[in-house]
Amino acid sequence: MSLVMLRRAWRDQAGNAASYAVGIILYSAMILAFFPVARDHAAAFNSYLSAMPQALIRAFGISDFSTFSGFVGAELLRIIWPIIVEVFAIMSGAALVAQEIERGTAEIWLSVPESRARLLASKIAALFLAELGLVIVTVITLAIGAVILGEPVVLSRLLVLGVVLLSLSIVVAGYSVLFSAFFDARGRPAGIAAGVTIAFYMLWVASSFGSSWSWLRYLSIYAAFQPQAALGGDPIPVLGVIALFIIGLACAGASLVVFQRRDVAV
Amino acid sequence: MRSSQLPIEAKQLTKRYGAQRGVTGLTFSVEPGEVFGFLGPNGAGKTTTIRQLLGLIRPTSGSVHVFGYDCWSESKQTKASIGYLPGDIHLYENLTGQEFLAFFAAFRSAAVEERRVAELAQRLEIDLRRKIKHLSKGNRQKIGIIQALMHGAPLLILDEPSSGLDPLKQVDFIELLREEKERGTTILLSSHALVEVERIADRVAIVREGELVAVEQMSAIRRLQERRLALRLREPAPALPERVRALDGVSVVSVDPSGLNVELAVRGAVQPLLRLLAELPVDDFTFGPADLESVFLHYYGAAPDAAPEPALKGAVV
Repeated sequence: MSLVMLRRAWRDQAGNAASYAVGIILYSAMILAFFPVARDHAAAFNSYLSAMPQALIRAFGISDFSTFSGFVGAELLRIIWPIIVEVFAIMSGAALVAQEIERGTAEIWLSVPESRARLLASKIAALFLAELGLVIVTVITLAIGAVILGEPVVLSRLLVLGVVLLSLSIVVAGYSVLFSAFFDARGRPAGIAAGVTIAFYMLWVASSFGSSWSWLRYLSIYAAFQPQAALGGDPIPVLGVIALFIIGLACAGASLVVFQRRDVAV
Repeated sequence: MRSSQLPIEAKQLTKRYGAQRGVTGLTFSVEPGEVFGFLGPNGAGKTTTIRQLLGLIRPTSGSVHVFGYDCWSESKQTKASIGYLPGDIHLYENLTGQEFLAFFAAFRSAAVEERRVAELAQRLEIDLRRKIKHLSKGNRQKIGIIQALMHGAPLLILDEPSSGLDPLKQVDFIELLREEKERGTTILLSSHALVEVERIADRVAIVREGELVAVEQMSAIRRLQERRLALRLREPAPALPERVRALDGVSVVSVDPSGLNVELAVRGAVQPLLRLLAELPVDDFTFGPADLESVFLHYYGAAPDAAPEPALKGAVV
């Protein structure tokens, strides 16, 4: 790891992540503002949910609207939060190598007396730190919202939630960086990473269609992504979460190998 | 740096891009303290060679070493000894010149003095406080030059270094390179601006279609150079073409119908020509500067398709 590169990359990532953080805070605030309505009309909402197809409810990760974890999970953490953070992870991850080549800066960037692997590892570390920042912003926003709304705040649940959120961020960023290491322009790795992410989501949705389809969930990163369970204090798929971290880090490690060995012709 | 090793040593260096040619079997070395010109038209393989020196691309076969370190497998060590200016420089647009140079200096903190950066900025007349995205091509080039020179690397690799600089700044830049040379810095200078190579190089390598055509001392190259002498006579000189042809290395390029305007091509020593001129009714004459274009034509003569492009005429007077 190069500290010089890490500092520079962190400045770049932090500036970029700040706008995503603002988006998360504003959307979270809006959702939290609606929660008292759901809580006060729990019977009506639960009746509405019971009328919906169970496969649809499972596909969108809805548990119930009357609890804080259920409402926040369905309205924020299962759909919108992953979209925001995945866009950040894909666009930033795909840029790490490919954009340097596309913009012609790779030649001078790689002329410094550091190995390519160390330079890229520093950029990846900065990206992961930025993702950690987005997770912390999310957790703090929810904690503040819970306090304001009079909901209990359990630190251990918030920590577990943070770990679950981070695991999804890391895995998406990991494969985005890996794709980036192969290409000379950001568009293609970003497109491939987005396609892979959508495919994972479709597998997850398809696994809810019935018992004969349920095995598909094991092919999707979303099987291990249970933020409402973490927030509600219910069991989470620990092995799955660990697997997401391992896959993300393995992809990041593979990107170092690919980048170290490939030709860089600007 | 490994002791008693050459600044650059390439052995049978070959790079192919699939079926496409890059460079083939380049073997040359650059001595310590030498300024080594690397000449050839676009597509000849100059940048491919330089990218292998920087460890950006891996040789298909052969090897290239910088101060004894392999440029691919030990690129971290080689780059520590190199000040590099890319041919088509792209910088980080959102940084100021100062921030950009500070970032690159931080990788070699022990070797970069702020005083040196300030001195270079002053000599090249560049305001480092401005964002790079607001700078002209010439000013971006100046930042690239400062970046290459600021850390006092023992080997400078400069790819088309005066590209984008105005003529006055090109002269200042040559002067900077002279000072580096006096300091003992080894310089590999890849250029189309032939005059900058001619003024400073000790030896010149000429590449053509990915192959090394010649490596010559600059003095030998000068002997191959052709200069043009334009004569205006007060009256036609009898048997002038025959008298000119009798001189070694001099030929008649053109004589206008009046016989008053004559253009000669001159290679090598000029004393016999001067003696002839003293005998002629010369009203006026201009003697063009020597350049390497004629040398290119000499080496490219066998392959008309590979003749040098118009850019080669971009010499500074």
